[in-house]
Amino acid sequence: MDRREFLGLLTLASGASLLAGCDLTRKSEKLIPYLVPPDDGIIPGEATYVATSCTECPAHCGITARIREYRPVRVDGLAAHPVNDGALCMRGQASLSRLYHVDRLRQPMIKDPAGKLVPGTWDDALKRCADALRGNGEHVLLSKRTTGSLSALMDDFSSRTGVKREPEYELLSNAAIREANRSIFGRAVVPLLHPDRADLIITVGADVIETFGNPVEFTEGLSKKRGNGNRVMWYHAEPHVSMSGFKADHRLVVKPGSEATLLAYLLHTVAQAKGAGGAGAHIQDVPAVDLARASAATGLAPDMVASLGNALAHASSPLLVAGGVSTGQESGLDVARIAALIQSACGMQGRTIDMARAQDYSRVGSLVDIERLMQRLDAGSVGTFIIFNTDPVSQLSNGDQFAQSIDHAAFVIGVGDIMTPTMQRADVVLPLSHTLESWGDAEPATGLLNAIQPTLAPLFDTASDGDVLLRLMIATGAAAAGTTYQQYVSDRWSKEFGPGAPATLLKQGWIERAGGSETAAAGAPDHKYTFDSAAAHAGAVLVVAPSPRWYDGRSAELPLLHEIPDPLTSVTWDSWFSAGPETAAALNAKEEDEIELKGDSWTLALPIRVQPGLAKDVFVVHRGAAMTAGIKFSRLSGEAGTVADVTASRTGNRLKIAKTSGSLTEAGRGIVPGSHPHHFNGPHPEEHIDTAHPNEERDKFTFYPVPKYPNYRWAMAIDLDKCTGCSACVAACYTENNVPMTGRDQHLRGREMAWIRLEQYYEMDGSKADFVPAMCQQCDYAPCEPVCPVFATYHNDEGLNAQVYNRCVGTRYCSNNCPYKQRRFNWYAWQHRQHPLDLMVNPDVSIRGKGIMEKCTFCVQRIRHARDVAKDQGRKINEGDFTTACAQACPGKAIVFGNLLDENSEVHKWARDPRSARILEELGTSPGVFYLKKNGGAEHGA
Amino acid sequence: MIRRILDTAVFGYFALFMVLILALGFRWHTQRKAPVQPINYSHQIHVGKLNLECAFCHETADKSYYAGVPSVQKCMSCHSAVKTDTPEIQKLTKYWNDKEPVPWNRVHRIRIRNHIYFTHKRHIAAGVQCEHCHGQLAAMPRVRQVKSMKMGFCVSCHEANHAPTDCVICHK
Repeated sequence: MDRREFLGLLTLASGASLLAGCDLTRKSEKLIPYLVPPDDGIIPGEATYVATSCTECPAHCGITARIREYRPVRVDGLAAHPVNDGALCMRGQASLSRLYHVDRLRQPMIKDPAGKLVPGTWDDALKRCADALRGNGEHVLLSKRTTGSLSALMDDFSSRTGVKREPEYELLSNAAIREANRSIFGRAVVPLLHPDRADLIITVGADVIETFGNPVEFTEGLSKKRGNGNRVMWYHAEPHVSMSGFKADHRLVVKPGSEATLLAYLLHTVAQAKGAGGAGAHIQDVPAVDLARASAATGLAPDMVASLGNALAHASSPLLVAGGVSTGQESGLDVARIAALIQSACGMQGRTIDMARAQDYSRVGSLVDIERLMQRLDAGSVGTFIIFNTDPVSQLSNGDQFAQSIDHAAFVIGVGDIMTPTMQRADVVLPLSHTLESWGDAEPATGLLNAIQPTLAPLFDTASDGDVLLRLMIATGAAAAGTTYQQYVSDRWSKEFGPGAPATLLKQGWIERAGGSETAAAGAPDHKYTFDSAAAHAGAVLVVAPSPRWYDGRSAELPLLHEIPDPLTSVTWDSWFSAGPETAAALNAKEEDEIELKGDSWTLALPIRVQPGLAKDVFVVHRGAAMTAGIKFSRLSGEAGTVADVTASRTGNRLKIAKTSGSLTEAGRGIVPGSHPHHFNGPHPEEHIDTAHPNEERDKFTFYPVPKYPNYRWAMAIDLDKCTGCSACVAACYTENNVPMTGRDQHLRGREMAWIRLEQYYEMDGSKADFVPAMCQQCDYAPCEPVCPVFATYHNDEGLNAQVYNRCVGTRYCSNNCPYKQRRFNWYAWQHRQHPLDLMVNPDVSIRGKGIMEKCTFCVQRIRHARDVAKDQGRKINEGDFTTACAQACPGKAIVFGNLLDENSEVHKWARDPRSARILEELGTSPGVFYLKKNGGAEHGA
Repeated sequence: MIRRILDTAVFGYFALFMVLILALGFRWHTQRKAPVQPINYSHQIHVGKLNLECAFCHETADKSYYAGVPSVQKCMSCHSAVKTDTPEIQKLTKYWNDKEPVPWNRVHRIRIRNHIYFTHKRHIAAGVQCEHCHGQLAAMPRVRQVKSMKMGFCVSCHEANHAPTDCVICHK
């Protein structure tokens, strides 16, 4: 074959294949109309909003779901809700991804003869359940904490079907606090806190910013107080490091197990200065602790302990609360009791601590109850065991044993939304709808009720929690056929809150019964305090802390909460031990070395992350991060706490930890505004901000065209004093902007896609840490713009550094040239989502494909919508018309967004605040994001 | 001689090939611009003869991003009585009786639609006539795309009418 022949044949072949490739039957795109148009006034393309309740954790914030074309595309905090007032935490933001979770149960599952769970029908499943409930033996129901109508329905269910309701199972049950309040005041409640009314805050172990009580409400209260210009001194005592500790003015690193001693000292100091107050005769029971003893036990300087006692004794409206890891140890009940006595002695009740408006935990048991249940199961006395929407097998440290105990029940009915290890033990699994698909209600605090109303028809063949109970009742003949939970809750609302209540609840989303604040009087003393003020733990200590991302571990089911980094360590997809530099040095271990911890009957091996600020011999692991198999926790106090006397050793293995930040310190570079003399520290000269008008003096230094802003200059200001690092903004950004998730492998290559990076900068000695939410800084002179060869990124006349996705060719020059490292590149087509996750898409924001650069847009879709509304009304966009997703979510109200040219706008005022500064300002980029330095930041300055 | 016959055959083959490709391309082009619809609905009759307003069927054009396609119920509001005996209306009645929406084929298949924010509402509010983009539907027995709907088409009109030409006004 010669060359010409070869070419000829090649042409023939390619021509033929080209012909074959012409697909004339290319699928046409369809345009499907309504069969019958909706009569509820819904217009396709326009969003509607439904007020409902978050159920991701027991705090039950009010939320509003944004609905487009009959499916919720976003959840936000419900404005003016008494608990969260428009804000929503990271877990609440991520709860939308539970609705669209790919592993959701889609129909009832029934165990086949081979012992495998296979899809079945509701009729079959319910028939089997009803048969089992008619069978012999004691029938029991175990659920997680329920409130409102669901709890009432469970009582009805119990009384009509004879199924016994077990004390509810909740891992972070605050059992010690409830027991303390019960035994002293006769009221087993977890009071809510009012930091906004306090002039001194002392928190002992209670991670008020992460999980304790209602973190969103606490952060808002604190922010409100500080925002009014009041300086409230906050002391936080704990053995490890938490976000609350770093947010407090004084982080007191106490030796593990010494919290009771410290509190006893404080109690006696207060009693001497003020008298016993409400605590009365109880005080005599508490062993006396003097200053030297308290100082020696806690490891704090005597000055610090004394000043703490002094401050508490002289504060007019103090707030002291103990909880979290401090009450989750052997001396936990003593800690909770002494804290309750201090609250009483200082008269906090009714002022900073609300006994009347408390979280109802009256139905919740403790690990003692779980133990009793396991004994009954093992004895074979349980006939039918209903496990209702809870997962003890993966949460309990003796989960394996619990799983075996479950198998001793004659018949197990699992009710859940995802096939968890607990559900796998069931004979029949009834699938639950998400609360966004359900009717119901939730009670965040006594006398306050949130409505739960559906935002879409169930995606799968599932039923709401109330309807599952009713269906079981109907199947057993305990309820009339056709009874629905919707009717049940509506009737109950009218009964409890009056005939107008259902309308109010559906419209407003919540209803509150008027109730005064109340104080509780102490009963007779009857407790023997057993804490040992002299004992010190010999070996290392493992602190099992509640996770800001996963709460007690339940939210670890959501992949989004693995993608978002842990705020303190920036770890994403892995389990790890945090350990201080001293601890690591003593073990001769480096970052990512595997460390094995051994207790009396357990071992746990994980890589370590070296975290400045942790005391020597203290290891921290998050709940939900790892199986805490075999670890024995205080039976009363739940499973967050300290485990003493562990031995640590290096296994010699090197592992990888997926994280977004290699270094936790800024190494003196002066990045954080106000943190360092290198940073520009003075107030801004006006002309630096006012880029709207030409200024010859300023403009002669740039050879780039001076931007002109005729109408708007969108800008953001972030108060670092109010920012707690909670990462609600990060989660909000993920769901608002369809930010792709990339997973562990890509994170190990540094390919995370978050548009907001929550940067954590520790002082080198670990005494303090600053949290800086960093997004695209929308610079006036953006270094990314001139290097784009295709004009895909450019500056618009509203100050936006805009990105045109379908013009981008992926050279990544812009990313190289961005000094803030805020541009994200799509290395792969990450957006091919599995069903039903493909529905969790904000239709106002493009899905970016492979090879495209993306970054924060200042929520340009919201600007666009606001402009549309404003144009309809023939005006300009006003302050307050809209805000960005991050600003809307922020519990601390630390972010404001608006038009810098509008002199009445918040952002205009904040930008001109003496504390205002911009990051890397010396580069001359003139960013549109202003940071307000922390109060007291000047002490670092020149 | 053999050489010449061979050359002619090869040339003929390629000529045939080119013609085939052109023919297919043309057919694909027209097919794409004016797809065959499941029901041979005629704008010529409804708009041209009966003088129905566009917004009578495309109800949300002045309210929303989407102009809206009429519901089957809307069609049936007339056609349960009008022309019930014609084959096309019988197709419609069948959809209605089967409780199936009519699977219309999209005429404007804009490849990058998901990257573009185009709202009918703003254009109607600005006084842009429907036919400016969609052509004289009154004269179309089968709807086809008359304008390119490419960026140049949008921008030239925006510039002529002093509408904003900032990229992120449309690019989302």
